[in-house]
Amino acid sequence: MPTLKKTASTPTHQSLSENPIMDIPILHTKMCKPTVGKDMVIRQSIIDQLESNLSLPITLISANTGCGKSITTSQWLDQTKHKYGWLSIDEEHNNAAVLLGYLVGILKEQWPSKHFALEYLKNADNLQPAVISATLLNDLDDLDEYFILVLDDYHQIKEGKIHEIIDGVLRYPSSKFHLVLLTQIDPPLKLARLRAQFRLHELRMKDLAFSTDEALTLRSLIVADAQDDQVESLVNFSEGWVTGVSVGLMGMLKGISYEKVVQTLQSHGSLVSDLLDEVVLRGLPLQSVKFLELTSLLDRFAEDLIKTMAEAIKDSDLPPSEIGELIKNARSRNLFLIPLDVSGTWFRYHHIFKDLLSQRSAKHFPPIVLEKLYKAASGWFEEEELLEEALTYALRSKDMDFAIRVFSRFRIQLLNSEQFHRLDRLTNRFPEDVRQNSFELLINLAMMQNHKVNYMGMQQYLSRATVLYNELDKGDDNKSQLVGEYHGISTFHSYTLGDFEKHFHGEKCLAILPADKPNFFRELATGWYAFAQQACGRAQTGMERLVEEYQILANEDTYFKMRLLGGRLIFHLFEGNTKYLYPEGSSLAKMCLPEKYPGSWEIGIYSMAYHTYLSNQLEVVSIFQNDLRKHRYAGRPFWVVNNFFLYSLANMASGLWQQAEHGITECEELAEELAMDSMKGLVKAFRVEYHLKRNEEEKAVKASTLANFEPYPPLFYYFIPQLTQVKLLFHTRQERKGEELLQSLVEIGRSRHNKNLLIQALALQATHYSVKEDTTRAKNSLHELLTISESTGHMRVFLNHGHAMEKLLREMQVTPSNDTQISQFLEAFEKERNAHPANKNLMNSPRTLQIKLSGRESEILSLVTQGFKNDEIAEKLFVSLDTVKKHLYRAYQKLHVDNRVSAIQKAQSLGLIITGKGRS
Amino acid sequence: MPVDFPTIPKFVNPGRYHIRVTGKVRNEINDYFEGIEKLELVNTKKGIGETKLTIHVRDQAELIGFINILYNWQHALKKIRLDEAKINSNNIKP
Repeated sequence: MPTLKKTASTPTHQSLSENPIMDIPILHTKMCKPTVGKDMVIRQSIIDQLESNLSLPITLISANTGCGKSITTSQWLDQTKHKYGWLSIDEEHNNAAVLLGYLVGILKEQWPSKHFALEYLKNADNLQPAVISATLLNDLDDLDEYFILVLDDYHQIKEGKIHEIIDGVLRYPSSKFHLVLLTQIDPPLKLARLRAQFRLHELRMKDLAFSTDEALTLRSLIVADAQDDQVESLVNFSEGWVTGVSVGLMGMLKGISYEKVVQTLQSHGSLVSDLLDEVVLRGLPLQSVKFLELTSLLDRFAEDLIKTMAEAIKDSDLPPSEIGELIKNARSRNLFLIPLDVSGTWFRYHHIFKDLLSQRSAKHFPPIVLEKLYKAASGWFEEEELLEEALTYALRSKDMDFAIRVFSRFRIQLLNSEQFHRLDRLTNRFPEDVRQNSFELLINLAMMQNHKVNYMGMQQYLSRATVLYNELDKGDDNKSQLVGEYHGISTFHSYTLGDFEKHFHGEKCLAILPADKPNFFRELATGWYAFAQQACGRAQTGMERLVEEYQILANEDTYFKMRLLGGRLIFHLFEGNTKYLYPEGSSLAKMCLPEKYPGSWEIGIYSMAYHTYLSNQLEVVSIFQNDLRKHRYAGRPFWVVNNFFLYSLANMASGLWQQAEHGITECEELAEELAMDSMKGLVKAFRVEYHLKRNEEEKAVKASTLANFEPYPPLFYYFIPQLTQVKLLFHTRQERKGEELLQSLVEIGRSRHNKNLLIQALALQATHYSVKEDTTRAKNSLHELLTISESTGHMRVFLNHGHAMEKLLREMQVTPSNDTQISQFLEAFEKERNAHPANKNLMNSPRTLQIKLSGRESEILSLVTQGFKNDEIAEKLFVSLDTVKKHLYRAYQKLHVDNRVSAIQKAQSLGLIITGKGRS
Repeated sequence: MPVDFPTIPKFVNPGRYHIRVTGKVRNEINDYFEGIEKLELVNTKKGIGETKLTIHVRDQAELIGFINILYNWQHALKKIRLDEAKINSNNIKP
């Protein structure tokens, strides 16, 4: 099996680099402009034209193949004093993330130490084009020098989104940037406006046509035996088409008569193939023809690669030792070979030539030989760690089992390094029917749904995988790892279904997959197996299991240490062990750079924010906010939004409503960009929470229509959307429903030993019953809450429940056993009041949130308090007596009272009415 | 499928084309291409509109680019005809 690690024998050319920020593999050869050969005519007038129009935002060079677009542009770039970048577009650039990866690579080549906002636009294939073009424009505008970007073969772009990005860049172009598009077909861009404003420089086929003088220069360069008038006629016959003139002159150089050349040029439709056959292939040694046919199978090639392919088919005409010589010959014979780098390692053919040769190759090589060649190419690219290309040729071999085997060799490595987006892209390159019938791909697809929090999708893929699992030969050693992985993802799936006692999958996975070899499936099973133990009340066993799994390995290998810390932190979040969260979270965040292990880094910083928020150190909760913003498209999206939720909650607690709202908007944008429905619903649920905290009932109800209060079962994240739903029910007078839901959440918290949930649910329950003056229930809930939270440090949960909680705590303080604990809380309430005296909302308790009197009701109650009788109030307010009674009746209902005295007392205690001076 | 570009260039000179496609072509087309001389919606009996366009293009790359835009906008190409008279006669008004 080829190793995925770079070895000393790896060729020195920089064929690939991993973009450190975006997990897009970059091929440097695609960023090299074609090398200009000595026997090429320098087209100075066109070069001058290009240079003089540099102040315009764009140059469009649109002409058929073989007109010399790339070579002429390359000649210009050799002469210009400006910085430039080149990108040879191919099919893969139809993916916005890949295209951006390359653009970052190009910019970084010119400005290695500069940071570009583009670098942080991860998962760009899901981003809105406007976001991408705005980011790109800002980066371009920030450059210290003028920059030319050439996109060669732009006609390869079929994806409308990419055109929209380019349109966006051209709409408000940067004054430091010039875009050059080389294309065979006019692109679907909004260029009419630019043309009308004379801001588009255009070169078309006619402009690129060879003049007689240029053809004469070419003749002298290639030393062709042709008369001046013959050259002139050649130009006329071929209408100045550069390839036509070149091939014609080469034909004459080979001894083909002028008449024959002209005759061929005149017969439309067969011009190129006939001439190529005549000029290039006929007379070439068989060895060279075979070499050309073989290399035309590749989008780009290097000597080592061809050697590997030649060895695979053991063709006596293609001895590996002569491959280098054959490349040299092809170059010297001017066989449309385009060098892709300055060192002359990588090449590709001109499109015309490649198309013609490919057709011949398809006829020449029997399918079985083609398959061998593609497989050999795939293997070579895999050894070079060029995974995307390895999979491309594996798929071209049409042997899907082989392609799956190639995929399987690197997928675990990508998973282990948390390159989820890249893995997702590679998995999706397999045809749908292959994906549905491959056990391995199905397991992988199920894992990707975990990443996307699409449990329904995970269920579907696992159901299909289970059918295939039942058909598997379990004794087959080759399949055992897959079986282990199947049980690994099923362990997590069982947890999401609440099957905590179902240890079967976890135990199977851990028994099959070796512990000392990194495998994300095993880590997943280890974690969720341990968390299931915790959910069953065996927290110690769970934690021991986790530690036992990694302890020894963690001392030697950072990978295992990282997994151990990540698992422990999630454990603490479930258990409510807040005191461990900061130190361990900090260790994890330091250990995992967001560029390398973004998912683990997000767990680390979340744990730190969680601790600081709950211990009421609000000013430090969001210290990683800017870093997270940069890396928001990396890692696991749900950790990202939950981090943002904590920052927003901290801002709300500090009375910084605008910042809190801004944080929510950012999350909404992110959910929109990532096009994740479950996340959109979750963020809307958080918006409901925000409005409820602000006492904006109508807005909360409005936002709730799009909210998803149950994107996942209550887990370890601080924000629990189900509790927001309870609060909303209380607000909308659906008290009974709210109480039932709240009680069920309390029970879930108890039965699953989820202290994070239980503490928050009990706090809400205690204050709710307190408001209803159901003192017994309120005190019961508070008592349980105090017992559980004795050692957890959930200060903020108490403070969030404001006056009602404070009042309840004072009433409970009489018990000496918890006096110290309560005193601490009451002290915190005092501090909170002093810290934010002006912000009334901060100390809002659920009571004021639940009972909201209308303006008229409040006014009438105030008058009642001042001693006015109903008829006097009616007279005073110019309303009928019945109206006054109606308003009072409604106020009684809201306050849960049945007489005037109780209504006055309750409304006053809640601060719902302002006590006036009295009727005197 | 988008129209494939032919390997061999057919012409390099400007030309006028009459094109007929299914559906109503949006006015936004003018943001992409300014060589439209005439754009006319034709109501067929079946009630599915068709659009007749007369365009002036500078070369083949521009023609195919234009047809590709129509294709991307889900307009099926029903007819395309080169206005030979425009090319052959010097007396035709521009």
